[in-house]
Amino acid sequence: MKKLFVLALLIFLIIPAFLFAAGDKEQQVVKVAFIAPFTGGNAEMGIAGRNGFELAINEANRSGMFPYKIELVALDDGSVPEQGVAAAQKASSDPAVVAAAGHFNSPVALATVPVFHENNVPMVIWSAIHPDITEIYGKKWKEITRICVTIPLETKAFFDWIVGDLGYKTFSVISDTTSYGKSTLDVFLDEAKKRNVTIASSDMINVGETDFMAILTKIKGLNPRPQALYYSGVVMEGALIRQQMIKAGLNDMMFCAISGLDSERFNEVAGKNAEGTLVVGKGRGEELPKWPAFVQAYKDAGYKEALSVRTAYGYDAAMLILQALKEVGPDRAKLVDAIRKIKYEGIFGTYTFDETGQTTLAAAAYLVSQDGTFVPFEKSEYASGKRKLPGK
Amino acid sequence: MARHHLHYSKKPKGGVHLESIFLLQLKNGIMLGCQYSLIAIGFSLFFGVLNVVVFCHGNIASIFLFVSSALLALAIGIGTKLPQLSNIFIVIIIFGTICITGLIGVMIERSIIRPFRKSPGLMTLLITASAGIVIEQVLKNFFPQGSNPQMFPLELGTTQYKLGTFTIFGNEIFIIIVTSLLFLFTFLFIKKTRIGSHIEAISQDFEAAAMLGINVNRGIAITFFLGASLAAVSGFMHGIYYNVFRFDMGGMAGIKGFSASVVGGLGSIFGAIMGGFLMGFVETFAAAYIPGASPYRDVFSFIVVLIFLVFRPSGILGQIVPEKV
Repeated sequence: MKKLFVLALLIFLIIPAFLFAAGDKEQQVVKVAFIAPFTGGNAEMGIAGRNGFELAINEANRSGMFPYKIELVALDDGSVPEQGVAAAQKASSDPAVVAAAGHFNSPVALATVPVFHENNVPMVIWSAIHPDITEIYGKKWKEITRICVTIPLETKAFFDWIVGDLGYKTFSVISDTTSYGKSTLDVFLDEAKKRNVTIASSDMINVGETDFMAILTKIKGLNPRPQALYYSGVVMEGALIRQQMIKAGLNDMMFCAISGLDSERFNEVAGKNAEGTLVVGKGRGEELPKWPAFVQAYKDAGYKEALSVRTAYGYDAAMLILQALKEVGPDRAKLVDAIRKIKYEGIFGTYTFDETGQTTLAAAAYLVSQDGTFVPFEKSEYASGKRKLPGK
Repeated sequence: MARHHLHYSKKPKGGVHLESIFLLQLKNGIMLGCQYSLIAIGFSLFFGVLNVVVFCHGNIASIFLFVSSALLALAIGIGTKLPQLSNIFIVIIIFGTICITGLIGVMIERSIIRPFRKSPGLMTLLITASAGIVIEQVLKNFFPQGSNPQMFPLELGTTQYKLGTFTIFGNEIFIIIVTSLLFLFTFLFIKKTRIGSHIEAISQDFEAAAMLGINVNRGIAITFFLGASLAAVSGFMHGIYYNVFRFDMGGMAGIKGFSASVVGGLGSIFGAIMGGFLMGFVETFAAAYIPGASPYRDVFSFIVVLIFLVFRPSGILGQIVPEKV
């Protein structure tokens, strides 16, 4: 009886041990986090980025080039800094997470950057453009790199195009009260001063508001009326302002912004009133050699969301991390250095990083809303002279 | 003739006369006022009959927007096959959803307010505030894409009418007319009908009304039906005016409506209307005429509430009620 008991005990103890050992070998998992808004006003951009990011990881797992399974940890920051910090902490506290990417909203990125720094997790900023993210508190944290252009670069492109080429000279300005809106506004006003551009009025709004009629009616009363309205903020309020511009009778003013409005959601919400809006957007990839293959891969993967430029940036962010992972293996500290020194051939060109972690690859697109979608300006009927921009 | 140059001898280039800008701002204020006062009336009615503040009242307007836009999207989808029917469908859906929202108001009273009728008012305040959060989260989590801003599928009155430099859209005229009719209807309903006089009796003295044989529970249910339907109409106005709504806007609408009814004098329908328009005008004119004030427009309207609470706590039309012993 006693012998039988010992035997049973041995069986129960030893067999699971074998099983676990075998399982451990086969199912080693390395995790990579992607943090962006999947809910709220910017959900569409966040989901676009996540799809691209996920596509790259799925391809890597299928390729068999990695001796372990790579798993995506997608965390929603809801465009809210506190939620972003919670997500960053959740990702960093999981030892299997070796790298992270994401963030659409600059205020969220500014809040999470210290978390990644403290935990030595490499973070690739995918779409937030506040200049301070890579140089927060004057510190150039080596964990933080960014693959998109910054507010000053986009604003400079904006002035070259809208003031230089198109000849707009007088603006009214509305900005939201977030750190993104305010710093975009500051950069805009600095540049305006340098280029002798007249600012007729400047107002601020809160994210989440819906009624902007009072400000727009005030602008209607300006004499002489400025040629254009510049908005520093993101999609939802931008679309509502554009819609209410027509309601307030500002049909003869042009509406413009930098990449905060670069989303088809803007055209959807503003409806037919979106027509003629000018936006300096994220660099487009349609003409680039790697684009068709990416479009095909995205289509084959069967995502229900339409492909956008942010999907491609999400893909590049993942591929960059994967290349570093292949070089140095799943180790946070080694990955931090490897990503900083990387030279990666992505969809949009060759990514390298300067001493702050900012990519040297500068890509911006000049877009105009035509028939409910953003098209490259040079190919639009506005450039060919068939349609006329307001305020000229 | 020395002052001649002060007058606009020609039409100014680009800009519009200051007087007509003032008129346009007045119109903007009226638009906000219509939405706020329709919600404020509900607060006043509920406070009148039960002496309670129903804090989830603003969220009732969001229920209307979510339900009606889902049904409308469906009907417009069907309407593409039956074009001659779609307009009737739309009207039925709007009225149907207003009634459903009214019934939800009745349900809220029956389920979470009536059990606390004899408890201190604080209990009702707490439970309705919690109900507001529950409604918000249910809309967020159980509607498809509920956490994202939603588009109202109905476009109404997009033609613009011009009177000199004053411009007004069809939907703005519609909002003004419908709101005025509803004010008139509510007033006549309370003052001229039998049920209305019951409601008024209940609000004057609950127990005496019950002793006189008035069906108190029915009177209260009708009050909640009326208040919730008016909130639904306010939501409808928001939908056709801005075309966009979010799951979390009910909370702010509730606070604005409640403040408006406090400013006007809790319990008074006319007071609620006046309070609603006062809030709308303060917000609009603060944003329009105080430099740099546009992000703080809500602060200005709440300062007005504070001033009223400190210096005239009974509101514009409220009477100072002697303490019941």
